[in-house]
Amino acid sequence: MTEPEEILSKSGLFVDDLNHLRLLSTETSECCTELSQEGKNFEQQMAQFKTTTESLITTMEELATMVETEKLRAMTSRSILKNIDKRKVNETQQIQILIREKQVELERLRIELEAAQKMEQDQRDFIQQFISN
Amino acid sequence: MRLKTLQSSVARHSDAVCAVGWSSSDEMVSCSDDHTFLKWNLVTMEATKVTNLADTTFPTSMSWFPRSLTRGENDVLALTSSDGKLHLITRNGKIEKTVDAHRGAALSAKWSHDGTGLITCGEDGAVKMWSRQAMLRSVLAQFASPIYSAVWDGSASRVLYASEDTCYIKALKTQVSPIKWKAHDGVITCLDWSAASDLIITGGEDGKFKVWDSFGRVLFTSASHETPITSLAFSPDGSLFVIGSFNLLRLCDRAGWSHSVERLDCGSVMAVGWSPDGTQLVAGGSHGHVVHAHLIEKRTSYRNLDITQTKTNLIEVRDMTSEVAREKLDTRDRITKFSVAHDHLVVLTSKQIYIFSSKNWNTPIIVDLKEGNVSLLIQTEKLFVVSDGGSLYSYSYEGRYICEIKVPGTGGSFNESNTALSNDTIVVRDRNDYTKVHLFDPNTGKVQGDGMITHTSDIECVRVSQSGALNARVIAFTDSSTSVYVSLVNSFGTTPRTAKIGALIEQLCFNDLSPMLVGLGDGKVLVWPVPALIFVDRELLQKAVIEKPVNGLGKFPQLINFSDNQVILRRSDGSLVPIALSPFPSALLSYTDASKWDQAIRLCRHIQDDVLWAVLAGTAAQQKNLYAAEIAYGALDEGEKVAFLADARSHPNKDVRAAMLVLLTGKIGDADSMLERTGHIFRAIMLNISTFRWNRALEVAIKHKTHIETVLGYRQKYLDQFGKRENDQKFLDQLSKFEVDWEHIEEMIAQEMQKEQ
Amino acid sequence: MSFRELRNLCEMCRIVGFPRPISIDSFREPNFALVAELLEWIVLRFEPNALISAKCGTEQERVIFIKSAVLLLLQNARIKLNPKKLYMANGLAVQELIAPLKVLSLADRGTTADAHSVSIPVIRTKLATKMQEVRQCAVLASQLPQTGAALSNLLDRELFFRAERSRAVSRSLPPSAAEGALRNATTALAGLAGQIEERLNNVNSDERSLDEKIDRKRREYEQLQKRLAKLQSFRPQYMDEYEKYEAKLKQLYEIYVLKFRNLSYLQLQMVEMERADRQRQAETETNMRQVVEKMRSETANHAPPIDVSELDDEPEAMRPTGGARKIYGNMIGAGLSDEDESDEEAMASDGDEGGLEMNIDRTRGARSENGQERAIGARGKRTMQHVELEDVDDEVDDEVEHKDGDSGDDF
Repeated sequence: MTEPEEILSKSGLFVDDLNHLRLLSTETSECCTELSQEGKNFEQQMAQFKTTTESLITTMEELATMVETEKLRAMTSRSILKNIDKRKVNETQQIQILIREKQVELERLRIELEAAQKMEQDQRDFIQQFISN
Repeated sequence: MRLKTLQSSVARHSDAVCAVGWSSSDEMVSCSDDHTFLKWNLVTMEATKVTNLADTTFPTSMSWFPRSLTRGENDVLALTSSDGKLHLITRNGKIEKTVDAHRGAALSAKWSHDGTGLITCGEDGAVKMWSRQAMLRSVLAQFASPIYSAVWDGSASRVLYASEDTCYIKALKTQVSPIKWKAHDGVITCLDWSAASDLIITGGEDGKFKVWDSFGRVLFTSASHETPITSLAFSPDGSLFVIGSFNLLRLCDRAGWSHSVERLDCGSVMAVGWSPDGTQLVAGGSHGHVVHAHLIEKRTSYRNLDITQTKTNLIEVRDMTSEVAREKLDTRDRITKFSVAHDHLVVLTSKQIYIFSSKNWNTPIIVDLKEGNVSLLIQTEKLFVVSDGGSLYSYSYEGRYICEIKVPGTGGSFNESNTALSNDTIVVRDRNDYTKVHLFDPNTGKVQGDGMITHTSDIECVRVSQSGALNARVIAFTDSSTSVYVSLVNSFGTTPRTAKIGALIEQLCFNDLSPMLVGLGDGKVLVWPVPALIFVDRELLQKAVIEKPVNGLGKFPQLINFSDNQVILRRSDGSLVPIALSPFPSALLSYTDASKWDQAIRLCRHIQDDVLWAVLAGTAAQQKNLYAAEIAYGALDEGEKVAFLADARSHPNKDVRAAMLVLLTGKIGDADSMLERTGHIFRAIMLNISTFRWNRALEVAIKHKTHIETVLGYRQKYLDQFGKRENDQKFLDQLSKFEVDWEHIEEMIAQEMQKEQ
Repeated sequence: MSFRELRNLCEMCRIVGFPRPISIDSFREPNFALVAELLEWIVLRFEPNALISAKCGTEQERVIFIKSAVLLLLQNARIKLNPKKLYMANGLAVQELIAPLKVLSLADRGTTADAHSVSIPVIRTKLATKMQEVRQCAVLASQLPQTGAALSNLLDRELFFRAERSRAVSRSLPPSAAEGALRNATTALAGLAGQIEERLNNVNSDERSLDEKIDRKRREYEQLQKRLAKLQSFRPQYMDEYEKYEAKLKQLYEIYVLKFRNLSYLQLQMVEMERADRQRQAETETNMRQVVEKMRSETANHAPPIDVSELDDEPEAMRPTGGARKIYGNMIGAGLSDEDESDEEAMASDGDEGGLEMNIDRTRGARSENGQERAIGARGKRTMQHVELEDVDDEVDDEVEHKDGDSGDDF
C-alpha cells in the first residue's frame, strides 16, 4: 500500500479504480458484491433444483401409483389364475344351491300336482258313484 | 315370487354400506363407512349426496321413525355408529341430536312400532331403552359379550335381543325374568320380530336362519348357508322376510321356505330394509354397493284365472280354461298390491286404484288413491276396503269412494288376520286391546250391529261370513289359546254373545258363497257347514262338522282360500295343496237357503250322512221348518227331539211353539222367561221341573201363586228316588205350608192340559 | 380394536376365500392360533413358495414365525406389519392383518380397470422426457455444493467485512476532515511523483552509458569476426604433406587388415588343430590305458598302477603353472611381452607354430608406430588383437568417414 493510500485509509477513505472516493476499501466492497452475487446465484440454483426435483418427485409418485396398480393387477391375475379351481368349486356350490332351490320348488310343485291329482281322482270316483247310484 | 335386483355397476360408496332404509316408498337412503349419506333415485339408480357424516362416524345401523305415525313430515331416523354414538338425523341429513350410547360400538338401534321409544344395543353388551328424544330410560340388560341386535315386538311391550347364541325376550311391563333359549350354534348376528305376524327370525354365524314364534318355539330351521347370515328383515305385512348373506339375498315366506335366491356381487349384505309398502327392498353390500330389489312374479289364482305380476307395472292374467285367453294389464305406476275375488281384480299402484272386471279386462276403472301407502286390501262381493294402517277406506267396484271407517285408538296396523270384511260388516280387532273386536258398516262408516265384541283372551284371527243377510252374519275368530268362537253381528240382546265351536284351530276362513267355515289346525282341516248352528242346537253342531286330516302339513300351514268346495292350503314347505270337500253340504245349503226342503230332504236321504242330516236339522230348526227338522232329527236317532218337535209342531199356541224352539237350542233360561212372559206359567214351571231347576220352578210358582204343590210333589219324588232328605230351607218352608197330594196335583195338571188344548 | 375392524376382517376373509369361516367374536380373546393360521395363509398367497409354518409349539417358534412372516410380507408385498402387535393376537393384530388382506381382497375383487394399461405408454414418454431433467438435476446437484462452499467462504469473511462496513457506515467523517485527508494524500502523492520523476532521469543517464558500452562491444566483435574469416581462408604448408601421409596410411591399413584376417584365420586353424591333437592324445591314452588294463589283467600284478597316474598327472600339472604365470604377467602391466611369453610358451608346448609368430610381430610394430604418433591418452591395457582393431576403427572414423563402412565389412 502506498503512502497516500495509507493516509487516506487512516481516515477511513479509499479510492477505487475509477478514482472515486469510497468509504470502503475496494477489496471489501468487491467481496460484498461478490457475496450478494453469489447468494443470488445460489438461490436461483436452489430454486431451479427444487422445481426440477419436485416435478421429478411428482412423476415418480405417479409412477409409483402406476406400479402399485399394476402390482395389484398382477396379483389379481395371479389370484384369478390360482383361484380358478376354487372359483369353479364356488360356482358349482352356487349352482348347487340354486339346484337345491329348484328341487325344493319341484318338490313343491310335485306335491301340488299330487294333491290336484288326488282331488281329480276323488271327484272322478264321486261322479262314478253318483252316476251308479 | 322372486326378487328382481338392480345394482349399479360401480359401487357408489367406497366402503361397506351398513345402514340402509327408506325415507318414502320411492326413495331409499344409505349410509356407508365412507361417511356419506346418500339418497337414491329408484328409476335410474343414481344417488345424490344428502350430507357427509363426521369422519369418526362409521354407521352400523339405521332405523326410521315409524312412518304410519308421522304422516310424512318430521321424519327422523336413528343411526348408530361404531364410536358408540346414537344420532337422530332428519331426512335432510341434519343431525338433531347425538348421544353417547355405548362403550365400544353401538351396533343397532330400533324404534318401537308405536314410536314411543328406541332400543339400542352395543359392543359393551348393554341393551338400552331411550325415549323419543333420545333420553336414556333404562338399561334393559347387560352382558359380557356384544349384543348385535335388539328388536321390539309389535305392541312395544316386549324386547328381543340375543347374546352370543342365546335369544332373550324381555317383557317391559312386568317384572319377570326374560324368556331365553339357545337359538343357534354360532353367534346370533341379526334378528327381527314382525309386528304384523308376531314371528321372530334370527340369523347366525352358523349360516342358518330360523323362524320362531313369540314364545321361542322353533317353526323353521334353514339349511346352512356357507357363510354367516349378516342381515334379515321382515316385510311390513309380516308375510315375507328377506335374509342377506355373502353375495346372496334370499326371499322367504314367513313359514321359512324360500321364494327365491338372488346371487349378488356385493360382498356380504350388511343391511336390508323393506320399503313401507313392502314391495321393494334395499340392501347394502360390504363392497359399497347398494342393491335395489322389488318383488315380481307375485302370483295368485281365482277360480280359473291365474294372475301374475310379471313386472313392476304389468300384470298378466291367464284363463286356465282356454289356451289363448291371456291378458296383459299394465298400469302407469308401480304396482304395490293386487287382489282378485268376486270376479274383480283390484290393482293398487303407488298412486291409483285399477279395478278390472273379469268380464272386461280392457277398460279398467281408475281411481286416484287417497293414501299412497296401502298396507291392506280386502275384497268382498260388492265393495273393497283399503287401509293405510291408520284408517280403512271403502270403495265400490264402480270406483266410487264410499266412506272412511275410523277405528278408535292409535298404533297397531290392520292386516288380513285382524281385519275381516263382508258386504255389510267390517270386523276389526282393537288396536291396543286385543280382546276386543269392533264392527262397522263399510257402506256408512258407522257402527254395525252390537258394535263391539269382547272376549276373555287375545283374539288372533278374525273372519266374517260372506253370504246371507245381516241377521245371519257370523263372525268367527280364534283366540290365543287356539279355540274357535263364533258370534253374531247382531245378537239382539240374547245372552250368549259368543260360543265356542272348536279348539286347536289356528286359522279360519269362510266360504265366499256359503256360510261354511273352514278351520285349520293340529294337522287337520275342520269344516263347519253352518257354524251358526251353535245358536240353534249345541249338540247338533258337534255332528255337523266335517273333519279331514291332511298329511304333511308341517308346523306352520296356512289357509289360503276357500271357495266352492275347495280349500287351498299352503304347507310349511310352501306348496299349495287343494283339498276337495264333498259337494253335498253346499248343495244342501243352497236348497235350504232357497227353502227347498223337499229337495233337501231327498238329498239327505240319498246320501245318508249324519253331517248332512245334522245340517238339515239345524237349518230347518233355525228357519222354523219343524217338519224338515223332525225328519232330520229322526234320521239322527234323536227320538225325544222328534217327539218334542212333533209336540211343538202340533201345539196350537204360537208363543209356546216359539218357546219350544228356543228350548230346542238348549237355551232353557230363554225359553223359561219366554213362557213366563207370554203367560204360560204352568209350562214354564214344568220346564224347570223337567230340567231339575227346582229353585227356579219354585220361584215361578210362588211368584204366580200356582202349582207350588206340583213343584213340591215332583221335588219330593226326585229326592225319594235318590233316597235323600229335603234340606233346602225354601222347600222346607213351603212344605210346611202345603201338603203334597198327588191326586190333586194330577188333577191340576190335567186341568192345565185341558186349558192348553 | 373396534367392531368395524373385526367385521371387515371377517368380510375380507370371505372375499379372499379363506377356507374357514371366521367368527366375528374370534379376537375378543387373544387367539394366536388363528392369527398364525391367517398370517400363514396370507403369506402363502403373496409368495406361494414361502417356507413358513403356522404350527408353533413353543414361544420361540412363535416369535420366529411372526418375524419371518412379517419379513416375507415386507419383501413380497411391501407391506410393513408390526410384529409385536401381531404377536399379541388380539384386536391390534386384527388391525395389522387387515392391511395385507385389503390388498388381497382388492385383488380378488378385480377392481383394476384397463385404463391403467393405456396410461403406461404415457408415463413412459413422460419418464423419458424427465430423464433430461434428471441430468440437469444432477448437474445442479454437483454445482450446488461448489456454490455453497464459495458462499460459505464468503460468509466466513463476511463477518469481518460486515464489521468493516458497519464501521464505515457508523463513522461520521466530516467533509472538511475528508478534504484535509485528501489534500494530505495529494501532497504525499505529489511528493511521490517527484521522486519517481527523479528516478526516471537517473534511468535515462544509465541507459545512455549502457548504449555506449554496447557499441564498443559490437565493434570488437566485428573485428574478431574478420580475423576469423582471414584465418579460415589461410592454407598451411604441411597440408600437402599431411594428405600424402594420409593416403599412405590408408594403404597400410588395408594391408594390415588383410594380414590380420589371415592371422585370425590361422589362429583359428591352430586352435582347432590343437583341440584335435588333444583329442587324439586322449584317445590314444585311453586306448593305452585299456591296453594296459588288458595287459595288467593278462599279466596279473605285473606293472604297478602308479605309472598310469603319472601319465595322467603330467599335462595337468603343466597347465596350472602356465595359467598362474599368465595371471601374474597381467598384473604387472605392459602385458605384451607377457603375452608373447605365454604365446611362446604355448607355442613351445604346442610345438610347430613358427610361421605365424612372424606375422604377429609385424603387425605389432606397425601398430606401436601409429599409436605413438596419435598420442591419444591412455587407452588402457588391451588383450590380444581386438584392442588394436578398435584403435584402428577410431582412426578411420576421425580421418575418413566413408571408410568406416568398409572396415565394418571386414569384420
